[in-house]
Amino acid sequence: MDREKTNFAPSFEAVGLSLEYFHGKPVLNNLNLAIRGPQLIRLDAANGSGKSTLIEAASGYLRPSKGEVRINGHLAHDEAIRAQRRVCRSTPALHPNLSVSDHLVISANLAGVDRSEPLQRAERLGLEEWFGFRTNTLSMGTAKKLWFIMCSTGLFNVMFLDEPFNGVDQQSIEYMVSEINNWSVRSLVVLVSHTVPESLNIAQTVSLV
Amino acid sequence: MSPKKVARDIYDAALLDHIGLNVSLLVFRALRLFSVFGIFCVTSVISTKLCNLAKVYFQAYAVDICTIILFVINIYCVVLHIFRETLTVRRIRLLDHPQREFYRSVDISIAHVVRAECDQAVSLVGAASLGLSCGAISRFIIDGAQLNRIISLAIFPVMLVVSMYAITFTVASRNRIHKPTVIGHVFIGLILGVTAAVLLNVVLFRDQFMNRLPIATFDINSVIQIQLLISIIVSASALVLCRIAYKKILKSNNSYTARGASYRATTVRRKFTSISATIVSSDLQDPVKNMSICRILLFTWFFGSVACVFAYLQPELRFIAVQKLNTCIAVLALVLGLCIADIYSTWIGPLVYSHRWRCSWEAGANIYAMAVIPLGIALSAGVLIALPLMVGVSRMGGSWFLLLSVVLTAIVCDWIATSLFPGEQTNAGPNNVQIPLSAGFLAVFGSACLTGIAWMLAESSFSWILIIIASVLIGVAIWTAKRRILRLPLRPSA
Repeated sequence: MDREKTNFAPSFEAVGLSLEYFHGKPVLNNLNLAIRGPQLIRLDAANGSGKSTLIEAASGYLRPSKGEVRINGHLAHDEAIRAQRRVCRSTPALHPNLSVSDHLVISANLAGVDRSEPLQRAERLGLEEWFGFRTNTLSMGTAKKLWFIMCSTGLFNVMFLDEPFNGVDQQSIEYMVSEINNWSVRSLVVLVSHTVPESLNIAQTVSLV
Repeated sequence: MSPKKVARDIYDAALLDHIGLNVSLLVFRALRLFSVFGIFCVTSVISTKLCNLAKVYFQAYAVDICTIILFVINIYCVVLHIFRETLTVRRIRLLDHPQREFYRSVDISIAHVVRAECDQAVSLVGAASLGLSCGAISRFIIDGAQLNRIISLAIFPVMLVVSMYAITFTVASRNRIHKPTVIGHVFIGLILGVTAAVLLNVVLFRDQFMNRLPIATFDINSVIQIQLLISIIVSASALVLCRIAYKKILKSNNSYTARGASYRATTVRRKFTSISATIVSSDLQDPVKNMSICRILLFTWFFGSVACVFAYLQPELRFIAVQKLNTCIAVLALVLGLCIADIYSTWIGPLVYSHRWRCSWEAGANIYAMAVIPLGIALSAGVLIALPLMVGVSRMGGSWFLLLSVVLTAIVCDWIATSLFPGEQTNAGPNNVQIPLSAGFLAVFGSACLTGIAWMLAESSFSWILIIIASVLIGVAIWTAKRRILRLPLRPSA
């Protein structure tokens, strides 16, 4: 009965979770966490304490050395959960030779939505003048804005954001905050950020320590 | 501390990290010095023993024969270094160093970096060459060998070391990267190959002996004189070239290489029928990458046309010693396959795409397309690059199937190795991928073993088994590439 519930409500659970990049050097040890949405959660901890590692595990890429990570009741690496989850990592993984608009079109194609969705959002973030430019010519902030749009295109009900505001100008941060607040009404949004804009509707802050 | 010293420290520290040794720089350098000395001692002993053996078999000609053999070994090392610096990814590293930004920020000239990176290879190869020469000299001085022989032997290590530096510095000093034309390189390879084949034919078959190669009669003393002259000319010109090229790199002051491409992307809002194919093909558009492919094409078209023309001019030579021919084909194919594999796995391999493909998969991209398309492109490129050699080999009566299967298995082995091991994929640029040593070792070892199997099967009537082996390996490569996208491999304990 409980499992059925978790299948439908957006949730993020870590049970006895240990994570490591190097054999025998755990970054996180025996973490237990249960978050249910829709809401906006902020993960808080000092640098190097494993916030980004936890997000990597939530993406299903990094497999736990012990315990398990579940998204909406499914194991994080389960393919079934892929369409419902979005992960926006702190470092953009953009293609250096493709243009900004190429990236936006790709993200729309992958998410199965009309290309106007990411293009319009990009225009609102002031990316229009860069549409025809290769991404290796973009500034850090511009690349981060493009990355933010790419990683949040389409429908989802769980979103992980790792330091999305770094290097981004104030006006764009305000737009990003309004989008994050809108998502938190229907989805579970887990945010890792040392910069916390005031207008962000954070429901609770979870400490990893 | 001088920038030269800092560059050396950085290189050694990075190398230590890459190897995974947990020792101080001082200990590492002592170990390296010890290994260089060890190589020198071992090669000296081997050389002395071989000279003793030569003395028994060739008696009065032992000194001359040993001198010629050592000359050939040193020239071979120089040619190998040329191949390494111009045909492999080393060329890209020399022309467009992945850490150029870092060195610029700390104000270290790229000349010092290139020098530091070159010192390692030169010291090891130089020690081996010096050992061989010293062993031979010590043995032949006792026999009262002529002075010109001793000078010849003494000059070989100098020639090798100076030539290696000259080659590296010359490649690194070519600051302008222009987009090369594939057709142009194919044409040059073809012309050079035809000319070489005709010249070879004239030299070897001027008397037109049938069914056997004529043994040229020559004066061994004049050969030694010519060889000494060549060594002196090569050493002197390499020394001059070395100085000019090094000064040129120092002068360039880490300036950016002017790329042909503009800031604007060539196509905007395209249709993207296949996202993976579009991304992979656009990644191959870089002029530096095109240049490496062009160099290999020049090489394959050269040797392919030499074989074709030679087989046409001397049809009696075809089908003789097929077994020996197949052995040569297997070795040539292995070297070619590893060169192609090295280049393609560094550009579009599973390690390069690991993060981008992972993010694309999370966004909904097809995992099979991402695993298959880059491998398919690399294999197709391998076939197309090896095609002229395959034609040449079949014209000479050898097994083109052996050549093809060795090239393809080398690419597949490299793919599997780079998928299995966690590597360092930095964000400093598309060329900035560090293939782990263990992956490189597995790729070379696996390819060499499979080459041996392929060679044996080509000699038997079971060559069809090669198709099964290749198919299985391709399947494994796709599976490991897919696994690399789905699962981040852990690293061994630091």
